[in-house]
Amino acid sequence: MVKLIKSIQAHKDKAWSVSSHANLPLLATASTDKTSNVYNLSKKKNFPLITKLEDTHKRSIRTVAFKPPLGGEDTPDTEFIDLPALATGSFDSTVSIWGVDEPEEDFDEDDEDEQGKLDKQVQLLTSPQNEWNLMAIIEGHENEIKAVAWNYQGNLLATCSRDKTIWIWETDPETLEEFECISVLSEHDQDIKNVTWHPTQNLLASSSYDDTIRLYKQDEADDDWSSVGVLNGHEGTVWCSSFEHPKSLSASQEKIRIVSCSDDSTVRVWCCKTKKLTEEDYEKSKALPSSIKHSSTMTWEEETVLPKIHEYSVYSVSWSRKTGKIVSGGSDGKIVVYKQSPDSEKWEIESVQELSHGVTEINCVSWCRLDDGEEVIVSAGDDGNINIWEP
Amino acid sequence: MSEDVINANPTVIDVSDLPTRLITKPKKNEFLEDISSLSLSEPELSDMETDEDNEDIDAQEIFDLLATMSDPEHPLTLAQLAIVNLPDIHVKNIENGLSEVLIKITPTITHCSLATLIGLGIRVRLERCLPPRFRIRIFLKEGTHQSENQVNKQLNDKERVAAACENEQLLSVISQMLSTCK
Repeated sequence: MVKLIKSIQAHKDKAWSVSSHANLPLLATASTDKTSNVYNLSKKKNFPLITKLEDTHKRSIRTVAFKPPLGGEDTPDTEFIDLPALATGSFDSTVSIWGVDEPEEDFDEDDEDEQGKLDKQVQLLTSPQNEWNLMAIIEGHENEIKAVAWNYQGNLLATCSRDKTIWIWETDPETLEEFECISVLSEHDQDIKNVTWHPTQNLLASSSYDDTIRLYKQDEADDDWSSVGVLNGHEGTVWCSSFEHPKSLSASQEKIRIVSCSDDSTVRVWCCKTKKLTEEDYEKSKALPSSIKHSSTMTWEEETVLPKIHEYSVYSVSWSRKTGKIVSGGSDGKIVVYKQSPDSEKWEIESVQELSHGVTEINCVSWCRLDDGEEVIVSAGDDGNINIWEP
Repeated sequence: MSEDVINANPTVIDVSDLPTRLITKPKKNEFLEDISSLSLSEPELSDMETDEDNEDIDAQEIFDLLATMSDPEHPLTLAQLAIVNLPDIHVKNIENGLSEVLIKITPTITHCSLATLIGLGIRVRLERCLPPRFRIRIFLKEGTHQSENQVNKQLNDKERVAAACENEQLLSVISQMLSTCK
């Protein structure tokens, strides 16, 4: 059973989405009340509010996403201080970018050891004293933004909308000053509910009202983004998807996997076999001209449907990079944790939490890390609350 | 409303023939409701939902909530036009404390372009009146509309409904429809 460790009355209206920072204990929220809150993910400090981002969007904020650290989560660039920044997307069809100013205190002042310096940095960057500024407003979509997502290096931002398009914006992850649209993808027949990036490569997935999931990659030859796969199987709107982290316990080097959830009340796992290049293959491929070297399509298949337990639409799904477990949440208010048996590879339900947000619906579930390293599930509900659960 | 009425000559049911449990009262003057009170997220508890949160709500009560709503193009109610019918309303309790109401609406003609609007109006009315434990499912009655699946999908998409309810123009039309509610 998951155990509730904190319920934050974050918003006066629906809480739609949450996002946590990859290596700082920060959590951001998005709500119909047109605000976005940032909290410190610290049990010891009782999850204090750090800032409220408001007076910018004219309609509901539907989505929020923290920018990954400079250099990526796994190989952070330590030369620069990575200031936390995030993107919010709204039904008002704009995306706004927020970030903190560099704290005035000097980081290198004292000659503490590395760990001491790091701790101090975290403390400074998560301090409620920091000024959060609106850095940019991105316009372009015709109507409601449904999701925003950063690639693992933080130099690409994908946004999707009811206008049936995905826009990929390129930026300098250090300054976040300009966002240049480098691609508009319009493969879906209907509105696009969600976009999500692979955690270690530039592979993008989108979930749609047209019941499909699509995958996109950049062509190595001409830099163009194009659809490299479509996943058919759901019998209703696909609300959300989440990639398996290649370093998670359940991951295999030979396949890429993604989990998705839908109006059809199912949660499905899809996989794409990736052939590992042998030395010989590599030599062969080097000899080929670049235009044929990059095979443009990926072959995806449905691996399994997770044990069915949800009653209604499943709105959100998240794959833990730590344990490889999957969590789902939706209209029936259940938070369901699934795990894959290491022997049989069969997925089973580990726990079910009923009525996680009273009698209201869950809009988002996400695996997040607290300041002490503990992994928790954070959920956002129609009651405006953000609940934090020990798995 | 434009002058080109989509269904110029609908069948009308006499009010006295409608199913009811309500004692007929003299009709009060109803005022147009404030748009701001249409917020979806804070459903007002209606009169019948007082302390006893779990008092059963049955199909007749749902019918009563919807029957007096106005049609967007005729000065008639949804019950008079047989768009909402008691036998097409189903209420059930789900084991974990949630309840479901399933309504099948019957558009007056199969190409009625206002079907989505009527469905949305019904959803707004119910989300405002019913306690939050209710999951509201609204469908067009099978075979009553040429784009049945499309309309059904839209009416039951939470995100689209939420976005539509932030559209002032749409809200004012819905608020007109609700202005005749008892």
